[in-house]
Amino acid sequence: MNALVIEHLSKAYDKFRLEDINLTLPAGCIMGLIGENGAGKSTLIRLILGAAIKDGGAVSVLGYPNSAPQVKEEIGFVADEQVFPDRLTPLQLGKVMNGIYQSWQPETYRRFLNRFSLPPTQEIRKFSRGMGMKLGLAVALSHAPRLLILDEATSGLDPVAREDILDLLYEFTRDPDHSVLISSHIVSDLEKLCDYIAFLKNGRLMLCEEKDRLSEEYGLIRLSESELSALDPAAVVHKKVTPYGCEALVKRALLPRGIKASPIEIEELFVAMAKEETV
Amino acid sequence: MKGLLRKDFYLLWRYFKFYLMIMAAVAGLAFADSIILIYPIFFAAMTVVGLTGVEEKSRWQLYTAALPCSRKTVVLEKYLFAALLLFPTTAICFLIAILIHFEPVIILLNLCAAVLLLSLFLPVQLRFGVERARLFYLIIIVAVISGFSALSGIQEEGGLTLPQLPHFYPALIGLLTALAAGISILCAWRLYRNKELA
Repeated sequence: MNALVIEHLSKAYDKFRLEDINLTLPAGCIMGLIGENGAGKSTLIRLILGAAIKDGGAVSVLGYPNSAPQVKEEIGFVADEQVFPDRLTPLQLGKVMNGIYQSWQPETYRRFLNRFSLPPTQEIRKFSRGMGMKLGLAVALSHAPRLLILDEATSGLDPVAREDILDLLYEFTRDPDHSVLISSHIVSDLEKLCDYIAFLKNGRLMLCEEKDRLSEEYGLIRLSESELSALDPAAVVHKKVTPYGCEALVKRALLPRGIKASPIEIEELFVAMAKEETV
Repeated sequence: MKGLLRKDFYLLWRYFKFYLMIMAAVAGLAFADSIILIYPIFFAAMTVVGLTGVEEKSRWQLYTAALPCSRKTVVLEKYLFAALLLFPTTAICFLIAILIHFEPVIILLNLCAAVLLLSLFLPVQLRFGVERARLFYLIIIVAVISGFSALSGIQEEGGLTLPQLPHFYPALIGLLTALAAGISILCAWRLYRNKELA
């Protein structure tokens, strides 16, 4: 069973286009969605939720089309900022959600409020960004979701709040039926957390791979400019010329025998792909 | 639907003290000047529009896309909430009108006017948001005021004789208002179902 399947998804705006996105998130896995600002991460998430209207393609969540009402019971969503009416209190918000979700668990919600030290009777507008994010997670996790979608939920948080949220995601994915799609700029968070990495650039999905395979597939080499130009151009994803020679991100499979590439961190790969400049 | 309604009533509660103050002031002042009774119903209608603006400010509409309720439910809830606010307010004003011997039919016609106003405003606000809807409100207000002043100008010059209204005109206006509200719900749903929620 796949938690999320996206096939040929496309969406065009006046100045931005999301083109032919295909990706699959197997159940029980965490997928990190990486991309620069404006790459299309939030648009993709809005299309998955049905907040944006797709031009073409299909999105299925847990085996159902994303428009099916029962799907929403199974999705927990945390937005990139506080999205609850800010004159409500967490206590009132819980009662609101109790009237919306059939599977709402008041006791779970109360436990999360305690765990995150969120005052139940204080208006949400008085919350810090970190508290707002934690409240979003408390709501998202209190109706027994099977897929959690987080849009930049860790951005702008202090390290302690970020760690709390990451711990919670680890706990959530202990259940093999639970999956997470998380977009973030903070690649180090995703590197620790994710099984899969999807990289978006200018509305196109550049890659969607298992994280462990990325380091098998890509590597870094340091050569002179003349040595680099002798390589198959398809092997070089990105190069950087320094006074001491060239540093290049390469596809290991296309390298000639005898040239060994050193391992690459996901963050290095992300930066290199964002600045992609094939030779 | 129940949860969405509960949310609107919680938000309303924040303004409820103000609402109660207005109702108390109106009840008191109505004995001196009965025409003041027309304001609470409009105030209730504008509260519905205002709360939709509060939601928009917090990007709640985006969150509703992730909730297990359809866009149709989101639209219908707004109208149901409006009804749950307008009808009790009208009932209170109606009772005060009877107490002070003010014409109760005027209160009912006032309700019709408030419903017509909401029928115009809600679809536009749900689809285009508060900022862009403001321009629409301005156009409507200018059009209504200009229309009335033009009409009264012509009438003063003796160029216009208004037709005698049939004795059942309140019922007719009520029926037309209900029809307008129905059309408004359909329009709001059609406008909202393809809205990009952000």
